Amino acid sequence: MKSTQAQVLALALVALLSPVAFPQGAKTLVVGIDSDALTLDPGNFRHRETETILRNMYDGLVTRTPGMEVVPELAVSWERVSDTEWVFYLRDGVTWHDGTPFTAEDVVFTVERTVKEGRIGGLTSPRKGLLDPVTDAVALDRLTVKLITSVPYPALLAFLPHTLIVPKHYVEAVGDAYFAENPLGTGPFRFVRWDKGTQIVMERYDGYYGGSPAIPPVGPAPVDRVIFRVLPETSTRIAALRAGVIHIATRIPVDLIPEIEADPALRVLSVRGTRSTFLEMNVRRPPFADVRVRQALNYAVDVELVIEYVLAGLATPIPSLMSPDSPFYLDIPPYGYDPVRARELLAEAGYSGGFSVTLDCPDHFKDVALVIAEMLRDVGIEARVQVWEWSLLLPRIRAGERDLWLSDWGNATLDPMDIMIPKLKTGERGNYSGYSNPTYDELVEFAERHAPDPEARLRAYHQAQELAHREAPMVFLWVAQEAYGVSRRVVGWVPSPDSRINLHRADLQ
Amino acid sequence: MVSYIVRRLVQAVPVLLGVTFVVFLLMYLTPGDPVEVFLGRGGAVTQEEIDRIRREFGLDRPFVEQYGRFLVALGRGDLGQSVVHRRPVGELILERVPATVELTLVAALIALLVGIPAGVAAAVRRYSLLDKGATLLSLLGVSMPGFWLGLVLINVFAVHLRVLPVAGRMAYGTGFEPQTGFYLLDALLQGNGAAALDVLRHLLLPAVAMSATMMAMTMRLTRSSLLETIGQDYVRTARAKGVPERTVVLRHALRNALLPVVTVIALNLGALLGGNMVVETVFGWPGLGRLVVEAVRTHDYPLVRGAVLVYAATYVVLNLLADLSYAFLNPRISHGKGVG
Amino acid sequence: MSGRAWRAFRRNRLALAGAALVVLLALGAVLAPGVAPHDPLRGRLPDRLRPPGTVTAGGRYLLGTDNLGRDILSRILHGGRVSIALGLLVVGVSIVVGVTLGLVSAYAGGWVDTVVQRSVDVLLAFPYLVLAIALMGLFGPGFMNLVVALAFKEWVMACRVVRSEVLALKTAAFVEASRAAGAGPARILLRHLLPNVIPAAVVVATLRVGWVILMEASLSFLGLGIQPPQPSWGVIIADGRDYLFRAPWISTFPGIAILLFVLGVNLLGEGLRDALDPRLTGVRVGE
Repeated sequence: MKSTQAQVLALALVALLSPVAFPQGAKTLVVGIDSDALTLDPGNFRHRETETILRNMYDGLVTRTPGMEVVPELAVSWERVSDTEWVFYLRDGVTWHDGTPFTAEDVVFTVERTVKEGRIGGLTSPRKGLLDPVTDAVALDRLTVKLITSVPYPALLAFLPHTLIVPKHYVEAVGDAYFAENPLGTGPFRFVRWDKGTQIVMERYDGYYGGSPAIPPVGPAPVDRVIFRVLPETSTRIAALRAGVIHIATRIPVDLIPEIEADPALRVLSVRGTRSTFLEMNVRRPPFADVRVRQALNYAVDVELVIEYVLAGLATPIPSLMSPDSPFYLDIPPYGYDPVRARELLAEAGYSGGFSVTLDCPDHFKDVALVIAEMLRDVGIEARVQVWEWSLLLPRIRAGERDLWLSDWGNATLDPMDIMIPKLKTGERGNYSGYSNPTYDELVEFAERHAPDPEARLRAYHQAQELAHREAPMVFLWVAQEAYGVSRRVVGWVPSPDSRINLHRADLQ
Repeated sequence: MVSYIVRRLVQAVPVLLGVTFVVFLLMYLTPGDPVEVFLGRGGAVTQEEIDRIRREFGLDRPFVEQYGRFLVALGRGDLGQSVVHRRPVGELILERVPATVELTLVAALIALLVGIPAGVAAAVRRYSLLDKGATLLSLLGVSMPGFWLGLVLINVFAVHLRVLPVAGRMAYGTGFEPQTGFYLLDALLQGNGAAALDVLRHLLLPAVAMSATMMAMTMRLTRSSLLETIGQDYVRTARAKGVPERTVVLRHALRNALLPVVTVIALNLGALLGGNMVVETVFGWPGLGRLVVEAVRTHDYPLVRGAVLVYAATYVVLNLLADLSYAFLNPRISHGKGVG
Repeated sequence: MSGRAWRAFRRNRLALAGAALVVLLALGAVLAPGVAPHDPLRGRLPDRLRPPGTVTAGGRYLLGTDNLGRDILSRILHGGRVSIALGLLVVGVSIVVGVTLGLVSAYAGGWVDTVVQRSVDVLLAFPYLVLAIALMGLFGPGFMNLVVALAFKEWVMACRVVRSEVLALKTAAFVEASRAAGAGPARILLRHLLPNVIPAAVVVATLRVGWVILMEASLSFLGLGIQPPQPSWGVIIADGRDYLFRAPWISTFPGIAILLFVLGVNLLGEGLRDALDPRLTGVRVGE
């Protein structure tokens, strides 16, 4: 009796401790992602991971190559017929996942849903800002659509990849709430199920038109099934990758890259991101109201050394705001490390004895902050690091209560208008440092509103970068690389600078 | 009895209102704007757009008006819209409840299955080495951070021994399709033994990490309660009648000793529910706790409010149940004495 | 402590062991600036992620190093200063507030009692961590802010125990006698009631220190407690979470430090309870 009980117990234990074998038929590619989608409605979010996931079920009029070039997707071609009107010619023979043909009506519906107020369950699409000067869309025929902007909008194509086209017939039939959990697109994969907080499952759409001809190979996806598995803890994501449970893991911290590379079954793919990192200063009050102090800080921080030690070399220093990948990048030398010059400038500004300051940062910058604080101490600035939750720090920065902080700004379009305007134009949303310079404002305004001429636009932005560099309202740090852990079985996939994971062409060997 | 319950529930109303008021006030006074966080650091966003979102969510209204609107909506059972998720708060919470309840119940089950026998053994062999060892172990249980125990368990069982999964609720690509959100229940209902086993394997580590405190508490309560009962008349009578010791302890004493234990455990389920956000974070468990932590982080006021209200209501209800069970069971206990 | 209580306490070997643990870890914390082998805040980057026992040109790392090359042992010693001070401060504040409100509310009764008890009910219904996180949001980061955030609910525990003690004593013969002799409420509260609830307060205080330290660790783990670079034990554990597989020692050792200290405090607290006031079996370690 006793021994039978023990045997049963032992058997149960063995069963519990052995992995459960499930039949594996279909070719399934699993991505470990650090955050679940917030919604599956392409018009109702502002969240990077949500876009990453949705990209695989939805296409846009245009898309980007991994080299960040804008190329046709659902549109075949386009022309700018006037300063404020663009005509897009759509691809024929594209079908939604339910077989319904895709037409210009869908584009009109999508644009209106995005830019008109109160169109999504009574709320306005939070993606309106990504399309904003666009006021209307008109279907000229079944496959031709005209976009109308309120003012000349030279950056339209740079922003357009972020608007994914939704099906008019389906959304109108099922309603916004249902649509948000049961998406239907024209993309390479069709929606299967969403176990919230756990996984999103998609299967290949066999009727796929093949995707952008500019990014070969064109055709249906090679894998049968794609799963985005939600694994918020870094260590867990890496463990799952090493165990072969997932094939791509996002957001690998640089310290852990060697560990992944040591595994023969894995490799690390990294790509320069689109997020510029700064050490920003409150220019409204001393000590940083003085441009010499701000320049001194630029000389005092050894950006190369921070990159080498804290970021394992995986970042590129920037002389101003733009990423080197942007066609608008102004290629001038960064300040460079020069503590002697820094001390001189501080002395000129009347701070030969240095000063004390608190260096604020959100949690993910704390290591960087500690190293930079050390460097500031070397030139006589006593910097104390204070780590905050960003949502708590931001309002205090806004109120002008803080002096020195680390922050970054995403520039997924690589177009200067969504970084150079918000960061430094007077009174703009991202202008945390309180910088205000009429010349700068004029330059960027000129570039946006009065310069349909691309050359003039480029020149204006170059001048603005040069000015920002000299005026130094922030220490210009770097654009960091983003590292992905990838199984060697994965072929046909490279990470994209805008961090959208498109698995259309990925395969498993 | 019914009037007592009604009175207690009526009394609970001001407490719950107090909780909503405090949380509302806290979030209102805290600097920071969910709209800012929602829009993120980057991209082109105009002030006009920020203002519009604030207006659409009523965040630009004065405090009293916002609170008033909240109460009116609450009367209709509407908890409002999450700013970050842009979906009804009630829906978001309901989606997460099954994962949290499943984990909590399994943790409680483990605590009882281990804690009660250990408590009985310690009581029966009072002052023995076994008793002291169990006491010390139970103290260890309440002295360690649950999330740290979780990290250690992952390290031992998932990394070194590789016998249990690292995180998550189930394996992927298994073809198992949960329906209700209670994965274990779903797997059993669908008669999918492999999936049930798989879900159980995922539950094991987080449940153990979560149950440590409760296990310790159960063991100690069982021990002291049993010792008290053993000393009582009816047990002595049973002994004197020559009933075997094993029967005395298990049939007579334990039955009565367990009542207070179960009551206290039920009460503590509330605390367990409220305290599991850290364990959920460690194991990537998609429960309510993680949702709340994220909501506080992103300043998603409506979601924080709703979740705190749900926690508080759970606490109040569990408290009521515990008191009811005392009121209900006590007469039976005194009655039982005579019969024993 | 009366002679009887002291003898009872001295005979309790577990309680003595607890006291020894507490003293040992507290001593390490107090003496940290002198005994810690390395700087807890500045590391040597070439020495990052070294396993325990490594010796490099930078020195010996008995418990290993973290991702910035900082010595874990030194960080734990210094972290003890933060964690233990926080535990003592939070409980100290809470006891003062809780005992005062408990005394007054029980003695005064009426609307005062009602107001205090309804506040207690509301706070009890609040999840501890969510309340603390929300308060940290309001106050911003900082050691004293964290103390207030944790004490905000913590006083409730002492208040409840003291209130029930006072309710039992209020009608006791010696209180009635004093009142008949013309003693005012202040005199009765301070002279007669307060001394009688002090043993209970001491027991509650001791048993709650551990709990508060655990709460701080949880908050830090969620990134909302003590903020780096100032290390608390919870912060060090949190720092190591990304390196759980690569360098498990970062998170493991500070966890053991918490475990030992809280265990010590709990053993001590239970010893005190048994010696001072055995009726207080209801006071437990958890929430």
